[in-house]
Amino acid sequence: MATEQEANESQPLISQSQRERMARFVRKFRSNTKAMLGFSIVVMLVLVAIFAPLIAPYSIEETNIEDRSQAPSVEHPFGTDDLGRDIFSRVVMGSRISLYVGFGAISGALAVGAIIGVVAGYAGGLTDEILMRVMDAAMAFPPVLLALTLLVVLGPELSNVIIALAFVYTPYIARVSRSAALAERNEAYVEAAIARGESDSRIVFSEVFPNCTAPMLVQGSLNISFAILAEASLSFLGLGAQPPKPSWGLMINTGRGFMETAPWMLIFPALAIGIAVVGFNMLGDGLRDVLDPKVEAIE
Amino acid sequence: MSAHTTATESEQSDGPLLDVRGLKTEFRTDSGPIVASNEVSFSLDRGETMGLVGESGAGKSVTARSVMRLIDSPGEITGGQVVFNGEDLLQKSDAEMRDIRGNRIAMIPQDPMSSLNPVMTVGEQIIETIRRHQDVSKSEARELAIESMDDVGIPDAAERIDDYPHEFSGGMRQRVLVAIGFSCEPDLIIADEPTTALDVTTQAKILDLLNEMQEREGTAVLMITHNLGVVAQTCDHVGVMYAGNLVETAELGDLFARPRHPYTRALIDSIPEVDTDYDELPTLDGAMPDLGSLPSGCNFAPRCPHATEACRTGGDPTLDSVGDTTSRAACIHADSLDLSESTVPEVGVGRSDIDRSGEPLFEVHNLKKYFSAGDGVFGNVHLSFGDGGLPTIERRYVKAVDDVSFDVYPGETVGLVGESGCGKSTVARTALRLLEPTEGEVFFEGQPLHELGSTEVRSLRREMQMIFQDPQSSLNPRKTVGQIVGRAMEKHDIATGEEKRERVGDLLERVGLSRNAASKYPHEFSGGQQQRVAIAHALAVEPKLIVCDEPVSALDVSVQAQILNLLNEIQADENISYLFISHNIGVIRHICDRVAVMYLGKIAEFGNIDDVFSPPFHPYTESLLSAVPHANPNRETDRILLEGSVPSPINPPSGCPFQTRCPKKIGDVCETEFPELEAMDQSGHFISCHLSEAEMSERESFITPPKRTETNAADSD
Repeated sequence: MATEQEANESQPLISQSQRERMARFVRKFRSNTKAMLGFSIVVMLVLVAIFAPLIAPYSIEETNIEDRSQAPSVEHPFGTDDLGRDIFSRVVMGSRISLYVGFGAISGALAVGAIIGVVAGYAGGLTDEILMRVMDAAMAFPPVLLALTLLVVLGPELSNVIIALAFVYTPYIARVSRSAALAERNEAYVEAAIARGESDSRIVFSEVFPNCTAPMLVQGSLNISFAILAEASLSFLGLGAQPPKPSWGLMINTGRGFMETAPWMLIFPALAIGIAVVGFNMLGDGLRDVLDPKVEAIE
Repeated sequence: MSAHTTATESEQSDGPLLDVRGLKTEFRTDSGPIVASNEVSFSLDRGETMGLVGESGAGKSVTARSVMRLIDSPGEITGGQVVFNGEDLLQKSDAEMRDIRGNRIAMIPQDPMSSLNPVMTVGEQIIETIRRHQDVSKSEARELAIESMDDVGIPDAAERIDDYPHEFSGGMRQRVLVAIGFSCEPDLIIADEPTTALDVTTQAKILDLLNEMQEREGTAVLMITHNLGVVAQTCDHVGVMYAGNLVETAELGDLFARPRHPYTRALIDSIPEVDTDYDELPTLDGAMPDLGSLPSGCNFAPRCPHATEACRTGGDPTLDSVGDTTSRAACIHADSLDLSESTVPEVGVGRSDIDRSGEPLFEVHNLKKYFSAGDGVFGNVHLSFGDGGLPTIERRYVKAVDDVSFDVYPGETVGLVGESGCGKSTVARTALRLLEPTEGEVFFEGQPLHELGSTEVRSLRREMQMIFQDPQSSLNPRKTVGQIVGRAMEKHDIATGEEKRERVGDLLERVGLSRNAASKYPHEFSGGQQQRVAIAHALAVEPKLIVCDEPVSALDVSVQAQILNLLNEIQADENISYLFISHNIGVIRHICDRVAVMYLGKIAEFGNIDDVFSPPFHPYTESLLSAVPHANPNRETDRILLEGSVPSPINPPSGCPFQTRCPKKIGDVCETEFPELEAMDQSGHFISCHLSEAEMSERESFITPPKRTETNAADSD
């Protein structure tokens, strides 16, 4: 008895079963090719973004007219642009902007959308109607068009891009969270909590919310890729990052004028966008498979 | 291995229809292969019925599916033979198997709700089966389909053949599935829990139908069920399964008269029967072992009351003949053990007398709960066209609970019994104000619950708790057991910190779990253990009333008995009152002091348990009690089978709600006048019926006569 008590007191932060669950998750994740591939690409991107100043061989803003529009070579692996800047350095530094916008916008969307969705799903009735109709209205606009409109109002700045994209992707997160909460609210543990006398807010955030995180995570990582793409589009249209910032979208925009004479100005940033989008998409898809309880049953 | 398996197979017609030999089915999992069905051998002759019984996870469904080769990856049949009509089915190609399935061997699935395709008419689904296996034209197939629907007792088959599944009731859908099963005149029908999803009165009808069809067609039936009552009513032979093994096979009579395996005895004993009264249900400790880590000796040894040292080593015993009988048992002591007598005392003496002289703890007066029929604001608006006049608009309601009154005294268990849809769960939820009542009064210790604001109700929640049907769903999967149980104490300022942890540990021990269960998550426990956690959660706030909503219906019988005993024990110690909801009449009989029989949102009969189970009977109570399948093949009950199905609570019948199905209907008075609940005697026995007391007393009691004098003296205050 005494020993048991001691064991209880020195409870580790993570219990045995949590560790087991984690281990199972890792095992399933690793056996899922899509998830692993996406995860590797994302990790690589994050590493590149963190160590960008060390990787980039040249300054990204210093122009050099003599070396302008050079084809890829040993000195400039991705060639140089019309102002003689090293494209490799700019693509590497550009990953920072893309990831910053992607993670920033989706964290914002998750924070707002998840709460709206779970509250709507749990409360039901009029609250649900109102919240979800507002979300539907926001979703009715094409994402880029809505972000564009917001940026015209807010002004073309990178931080505003994040705000605009967070706004645009909130309804998507909210929809997914709501359907997860709808399923959870019918579970008897919710009724047990009511019978225990818990308040609604406690039930929503402490009982229901933790059971809805898996689909949010999946939707979030899928939406990061859309946000990266949207940032590129906005920058391409001149409403995102402003020159001389090395945004991939902006680089494509300038490269467009030199498509015939210096196609590398276009190809490499576009390739970078493609890899990032594919990476996050695969991670999201893989996560969905890994977290799907039906897949678990077949295991 | 046994006399059966060495039977000749030279002539097809000489051998048994189905001969399963050493069948082994494995499932690949992360932690190595799991043998779900191990060395199962049995045989079945033409026209006979064999029952496979066992608790969940025993491997009975896997065995049946293996016979039909319906095992999907990651499962695999890894050994044995399935000889059907002299041919080994395991050697057949997939195409050959497809010709056999549905044609020679048909299956009746468990759930009639999900087993029919909702977008196809039932006719199309029967015709599809017929045309797959028989060379007939479309119109001929239609004729055959109508004929087979007629055979299974679907009225107006020719008209209903073009209806969709949702237009049929559960019992009628099961009849359609039976019709599909028999449509190609198969040699063997595998019925996988064919009545588990149905109410008792419907179950009785479907079992009758199966028996009748089988006799008419001469089909062999492999009946898979967990219900020994169903076995006693339908089978010729029985196989009992435990942890993937067949542990006993016997003729029906022998199995009940003289079981050879201790598990069979325990299984029979742990069923709460309607006609006997126990102090405490005999139980088996623990639960079925995890198939991934079976014990080194006999699989049943850890739970067996007769286990010796020899049982715990040397692997699982094989199924062998016992003496010179036809029974076979997988027990090394089978020859020496005499299990013919139950070790259970026959008549209970421990039913405590309830003091009803004081104030009731919980009172419900004229409670009504109407739900809007349909979703949304205008969902329940209904246009009706009266007698040629203008259309009238009315709002329609589902009258889930309509004018229900009862009371619960301290330390008492009041049962609510009835078939699905009768409103028993709604009564409980409305009474606790988990749902807002439409009308009526609810008093808890004299406080008017129906008048309190939400904050006051919240603080009263400390006194009233609830235990739910599905323990897996009622425990939050993301919280540890300690957090779940401790939260209630924190919420109502009973204990915090170290004291809380201490009390959680005590509580877990109280409900039969170990203290360190507190740091585990719900999914790490078995169903019975999860229900124990749910009970601990309810007890954490030291309530005076616990509402138990079908607390044992998701559990296996041996575990069910443990939970019922625990509830009784806690009641005796703490003087808690229970409002106990169940559709299982045996369970109600065992645990309740008084019981209310509900039909269509109203109470049909209310009174002391012995009075309700003895004459005079409400006609509904009588048919309900007569329909319960007893785990005793020698018992002949004159069953009353109800016509039709429960009417819709949106449009309940006029007069007595039961009049549309009542076998004892007198006439107009039943259709026009609602019978008030009338006292039958001084002991608080009420019946809502127009019949005279003598007319309701034609049948004998369903229970062994209790010591009436004592009970009455205590009850009439």
